[in-house]
Amino acid sequence: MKVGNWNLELRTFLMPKSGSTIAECEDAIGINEEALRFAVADGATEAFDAKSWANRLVKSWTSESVDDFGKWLELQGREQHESWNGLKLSWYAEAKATQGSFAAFVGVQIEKIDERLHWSAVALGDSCLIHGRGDEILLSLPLSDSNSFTTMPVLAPSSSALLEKALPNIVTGNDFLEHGDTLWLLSDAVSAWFLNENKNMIFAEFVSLLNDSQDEMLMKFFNEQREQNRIKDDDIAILRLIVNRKS
Amino acid sequence: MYSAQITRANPTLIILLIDQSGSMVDTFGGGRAGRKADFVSDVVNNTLHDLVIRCTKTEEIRNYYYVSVIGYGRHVGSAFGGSLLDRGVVPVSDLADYPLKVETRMKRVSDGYGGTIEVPYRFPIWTHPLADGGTPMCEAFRRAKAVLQTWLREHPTGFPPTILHLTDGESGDGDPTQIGQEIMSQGTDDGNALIFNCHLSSSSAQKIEYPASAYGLNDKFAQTLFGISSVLPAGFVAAAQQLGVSVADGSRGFVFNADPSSVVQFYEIGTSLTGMVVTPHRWMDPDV
Repeated sequence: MKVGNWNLELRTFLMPKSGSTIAECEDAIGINEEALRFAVADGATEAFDAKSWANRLVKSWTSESVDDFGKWLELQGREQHESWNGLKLSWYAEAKATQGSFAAFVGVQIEKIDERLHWSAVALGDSCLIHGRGDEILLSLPLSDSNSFTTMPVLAPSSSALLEKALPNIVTGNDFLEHGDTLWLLSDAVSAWFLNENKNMIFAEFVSLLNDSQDEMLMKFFNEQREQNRIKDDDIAILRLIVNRKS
Repeated sequence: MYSAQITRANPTLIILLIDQSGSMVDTFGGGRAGRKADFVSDVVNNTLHDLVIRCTKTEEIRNYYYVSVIGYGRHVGSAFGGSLLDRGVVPVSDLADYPLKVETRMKRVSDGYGGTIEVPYRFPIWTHPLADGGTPMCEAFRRAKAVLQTWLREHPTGFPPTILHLTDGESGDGDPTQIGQEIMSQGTDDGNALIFNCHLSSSSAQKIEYPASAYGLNDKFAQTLFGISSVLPAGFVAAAQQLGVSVADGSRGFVFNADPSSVVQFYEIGTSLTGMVVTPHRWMDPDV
């Protein structure tokens, strides 16, 4: 992608948890290259219609500018619930549907300000944005420590009754980008792994596989990491942007 | 320990042991109306309901849990009826598809405008209240041990089985200490089987919840049950704290002289396990 004097190199990777197919993967990636809007969402496994909720969030957020995240989320939730109207559900699916859907979400907008590139992001849950420069992590939000990932994060609910409790947990951030910087959008399991391993040799192997676009080798890599209990066995969504200034 | 992820490939077993002796016809005491047997049956059905919902993925049920419900009173055996009659261990998918019946109940929910409205919802029933006979607690534990041993032969790995035992009185067929300890000495590669005990009160005596020591337990039966109550693993401690229950490292899964709210919390904590939330995002329940 070219943005004035800048080049943005995009790479994505999606992998389901062990024993699941890619069709069952509840992580979603959203990309709008023209608008420079990118997002990752992670549907909560135990929630109703989580995959569809995660997909709705990334698709909608990347397709339009969002001034009020709370109002936008409320609208998405209303449409999600309306999509269930008329479904003939078993007693348990009906009970599950009344709880609504949940997903972690992180979205980033990149824009050119004068001749510089600037990112601004919003996150709710434990999917993360990580801003890297060289070997350093400049910023990780909403979580910055691999020990912070819990089994009960606050997530983006589809039910409007839960918005009031959820919205105070939104985290936002922004910064300028420099030549060679990397922006990562990651779902929770790979976020925690990233924060734990980014100084280790294994990380270099990961980056190399990502650079070479070797998805099958990347899957083998993460399966080995799972077997070694170095990463939680969960869906994996990775979106990486490398920013280069054209000389 | 007690950290294995519960998955379809590595499910876990939950055994509910329920006292169905004649004294369960009594009330809780302290002026509360309603028979203990009725309340417990409702709580057990609620617990099974929650387990099914936790495993529901849209229209599919994922068998993260297998469940055994053993009642003891005049008889000792499976407390399931209908299509699940005499089934020892049942996957949650069968629980979902074969309740005894599905009732329509009403509940209050937010109307989105600051008020509440009543809406109907479907509620499945798997066990009926029963209060008949003596208290063959040891035989019930032996039955649980047999279920456990079969399970462990087939599932040597994964999150260890949990036994939630509820009683309103002393054992009528001997001291359950030995059988309890035999159960707690067996397990998977992730830890030994867990036993949590809840004793119901028929008086307004002071309740004792999740103590870390037997100090202050003056009742001999309380000491017996405490002795066969497992220490709460970290995940259960966290779940209990999230429910506002006072527990600490070393607390055992033991409640004595429980009142109705303690019974509800006992089952919520006992089925919280690790890797799965107490109820899906319980903190987000708008009715809480």
